[in-house]
Amino acid sequence: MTGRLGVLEAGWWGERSGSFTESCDVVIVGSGAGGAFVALTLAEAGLDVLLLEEGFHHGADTFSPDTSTSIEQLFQEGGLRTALGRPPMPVAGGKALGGSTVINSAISFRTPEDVLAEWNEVSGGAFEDAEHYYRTMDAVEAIVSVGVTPDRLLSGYDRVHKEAANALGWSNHNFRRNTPRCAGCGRCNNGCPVHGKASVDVAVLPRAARAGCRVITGASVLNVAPNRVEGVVVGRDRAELGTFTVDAKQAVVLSAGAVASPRLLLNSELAPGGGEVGAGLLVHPVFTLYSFFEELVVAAPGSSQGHYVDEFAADRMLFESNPTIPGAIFPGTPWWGKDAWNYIGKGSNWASTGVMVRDESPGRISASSGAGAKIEYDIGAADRDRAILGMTRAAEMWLQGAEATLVTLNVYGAPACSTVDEVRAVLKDVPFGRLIGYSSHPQASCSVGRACRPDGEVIGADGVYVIDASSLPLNVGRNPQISVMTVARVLAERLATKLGGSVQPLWQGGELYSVPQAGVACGLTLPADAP
Amino acid sequence: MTDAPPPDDTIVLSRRAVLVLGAAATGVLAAAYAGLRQVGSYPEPPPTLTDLRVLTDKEVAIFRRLGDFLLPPGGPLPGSGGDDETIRRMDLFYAGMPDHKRQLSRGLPLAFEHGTTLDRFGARCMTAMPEERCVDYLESWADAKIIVKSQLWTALKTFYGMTYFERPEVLAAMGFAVPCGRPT
Repeated sequence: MTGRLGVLEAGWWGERSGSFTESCDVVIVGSGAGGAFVALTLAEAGLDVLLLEEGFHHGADTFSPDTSTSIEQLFQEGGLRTALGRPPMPVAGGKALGGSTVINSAISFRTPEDVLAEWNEVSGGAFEDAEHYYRTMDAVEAIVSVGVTPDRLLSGYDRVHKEAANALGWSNHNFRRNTPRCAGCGRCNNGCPVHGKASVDVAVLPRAARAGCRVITGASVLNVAPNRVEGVVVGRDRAELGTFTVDAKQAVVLSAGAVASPRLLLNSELAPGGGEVGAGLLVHPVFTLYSFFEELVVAAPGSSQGHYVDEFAADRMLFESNPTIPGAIFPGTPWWGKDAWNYIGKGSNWASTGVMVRDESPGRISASSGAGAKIEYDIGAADRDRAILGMTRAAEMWLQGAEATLVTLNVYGAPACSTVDEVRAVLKDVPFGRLIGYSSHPQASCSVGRACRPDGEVIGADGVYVIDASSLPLNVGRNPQISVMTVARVLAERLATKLGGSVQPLWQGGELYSVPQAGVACGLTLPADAP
Repeated sequence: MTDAPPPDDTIVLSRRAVLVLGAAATGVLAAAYAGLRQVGSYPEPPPTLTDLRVLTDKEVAIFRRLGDFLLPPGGPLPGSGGDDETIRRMDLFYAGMPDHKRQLSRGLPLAFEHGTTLDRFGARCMTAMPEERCVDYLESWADAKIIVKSQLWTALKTFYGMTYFERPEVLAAMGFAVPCGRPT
């Protein structure tokens, strides 16, 4: 079975074994949600495009089911990238051909209309044509096969999340996800083992390659200049194999994500934009509540994340059902020794909610000569209050809506709570530094209108562009992949036109997504009524 | 004419100088005492653990002790936090870190091993403590009012979460099917 867009074509990407020099019209650094759509747009516009990716291609048969191995292989800085501040916070990001789309839960939100209007205002009119933006988003969603997660693919913890919200009468939905061949094994974050997810390495980059885009993996860019990038060639074992130089006649586009793109600019001393490069970073922090039940809740496998509550979206909060991972629950609970066995030993009796806060207190990416990124982020008072309100509401959901036995809070040193009053007492006046947050959605660190022009060109660095999650003017307040893809396409259309290219339609019809053996693996098969 | 008196080479110390020197000497002796109390010898890992890639004998000993307190043998799940398989996974976890993160993370077991000095002056290092005192000591980390201590305690538990709780037989015992049945 083959199709137009998603067929795996071995050889459309390349790994180099030693030093090399290349030239092109446009070099793109990074192959995630942003870089893939920039590559597709520019290559189909007739430009000679070279895409460099620090990570590697991974097929369905090479993803490890072991979480720690996956994190080491597929996450930036081995999953240990951390923002320093109050509180210190891990900041996740993908490092693979396909970037974070390879390791996300495939959650696909549209950009809310009020958010787009806000973006347009703060960017000085860069998103004025809302109709074109949403038409583009329609095409993006078609290409990566977004659809609503059916109830049959909700996991046990998704189902109890849904029942709890319904019991309280709160607005809730199954996630829209780009998983057209989901087998429900819950392993999205380790890399989909059945090609069930239409990540950009499956659904977008092969089409870009067919249009002539060259793709080189294992290429770690260290220095950027107008019309040139330099770096080192790395092997899968992380050994340095050589150096490379790429001369780009027309443009250098950074699509390495909201941490790495500004960091590259700053390390290369290419950020004269009034200190705006790296500033404005928003991390969309999540604060997790774990809930323990006397009975089993993870009896049924399913999607890694299938359900969310948007009752408090107007208050800048979403509650997302999180996968039950015992190794993640253990540090989030107060127990150790025999007490740990009593609760964590019953790993299948847990469910959890991530309280995601649409934050507005910006952090900063700074230059850092060492191997790690320098990320500074303090949660602001208003965002802290949202986190506390959100955790309190989520505790209500679990304790009153689902009759959980107890909940544990993402607060250092907090006891488990069996009533909402206990939760309120723990959270009352909790110091900023005691919150335990996590970020998977850094964004807005090199935003259009502040650090960049409407086509992504960095103000003060002619010929150098940033087009990725950094470009968002403010936090989109949702899992951002579809917004990043759409913004990337819109900016790339402007860039292609500026460079003399002829922009081709994004949506070209035909069969969208088809991978041999997709959705079938290791005894897990598609449900009978699967499309 | 009389001869000039021979030069007096006696050093006269003021009371303040005596106090300062006395305090300094006491401090040096106390630090030396505390330091010597922290010196421990660490056994070589058993032959079942000769294939470790990065963990030192000392780190293995510390992680064994911590692991057996956090997730002791005899629980409802297979193995323990301090057994060979968890240590092997801890070694792989460290080996997989980027170099700069590994250097930083090596401080974590040392903080617990030698944190006894700050916690209670003159105490032995953690691996040399009797069990009851060690439980008492680790409870001081679990209930810490100092945020940094709480953060390190949580980081430690995260490391065991990434190792012990990733063992396929542990996941299977909790009712989680090993995804797709592939070897890890």
